[in-house]
Amino acid sequence: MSNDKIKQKVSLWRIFSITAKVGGVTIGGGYAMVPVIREEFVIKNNFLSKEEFDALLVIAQSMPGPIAVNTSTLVGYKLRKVPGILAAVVGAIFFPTIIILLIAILLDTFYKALSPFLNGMKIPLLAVIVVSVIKMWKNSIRNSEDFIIFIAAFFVVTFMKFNPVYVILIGMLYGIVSSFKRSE
Amino acid sequence: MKVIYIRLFLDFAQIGAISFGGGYSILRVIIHYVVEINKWLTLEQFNEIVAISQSTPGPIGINAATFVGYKVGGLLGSIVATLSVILVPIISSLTLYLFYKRHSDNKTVQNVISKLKPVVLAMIASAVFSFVKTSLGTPIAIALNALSVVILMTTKIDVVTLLILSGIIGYMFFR
Repeated sequence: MSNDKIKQKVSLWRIFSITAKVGGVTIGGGYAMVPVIREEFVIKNNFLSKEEFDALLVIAQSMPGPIAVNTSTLVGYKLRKVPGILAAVVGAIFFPTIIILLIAILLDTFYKALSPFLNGMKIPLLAVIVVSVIKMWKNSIRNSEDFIIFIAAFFVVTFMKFNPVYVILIGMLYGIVSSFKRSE
Repeated sequence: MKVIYIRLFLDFAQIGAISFGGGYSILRVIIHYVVEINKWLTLEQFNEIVAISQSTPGPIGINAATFVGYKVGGLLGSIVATLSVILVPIISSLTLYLFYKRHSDNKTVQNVISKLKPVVLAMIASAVFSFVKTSLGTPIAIALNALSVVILMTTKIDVVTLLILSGIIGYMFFR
């Protein structure tokens, strides 16, 4: 009820400028953006209630794609329907895209000067990924079935060079089939 | 000429469509299309983009799309690739939201997501192999990685700070 009143107030420019600001300061992307988007829309500006935002976040997490884009999509839709989506998503990717584009253009010119720095930045990436696998392990591998799925998916993608698209699709099919079995 | 934009659209739309779990899970998919199938970039070049993505704002999938799109098709290529990679996420999020509004029961969806968790983790783990050459190629690199694991597991130093510090070390010692 009061939500309809709020919807009228939020201009597309306002939606764009908030997601652009969030997108511009959260280096590294991903989940770093979620608490910042939440703070801007829920706490600072009171455009959405905490419950509304949390419900949107569950949906955003369930679907493919960057969490920041999915969250922006749903917040934008909730506030201003489809034009709101455009404003929020373009905002979220605005600075990241421009910065990467500048780097892509400048890399050709200053590649030699930059490469020692980039070479240094590349070195710990293996450690970064190993640590993220360790940190996600407990929440992702909860029983022996999960472990078997993990090993099978890991094997076909790593050693048989299977297309990861098909592996995800098979995983989805398995999830659907097993939930029908459970409900029988 | 125009074929390249269609190729970028189709491949990055697919990459966006299956990027469950966010972050590193998308790396293996991008490697598959960009490095192995289309050979738009070498693995070395791709690893550079990953490093750049980690120290600039924005999700890694979007950064990679913008960068690869520019390399392959210039400014228009970067726009096509960037919009393609977010197309399916936007449509699917919105669809599920509208579905949720109508059906409070979402057990099937929850179960599918639950079953996808180990698959997503397997993709991330598989991406480790792409970094073996750069990350474990020299004794110094091995030492830096061991140190990085300890830092990331035990301190509050984040990935961005770690990568920038490593870049400075690279700039000072590896020229």
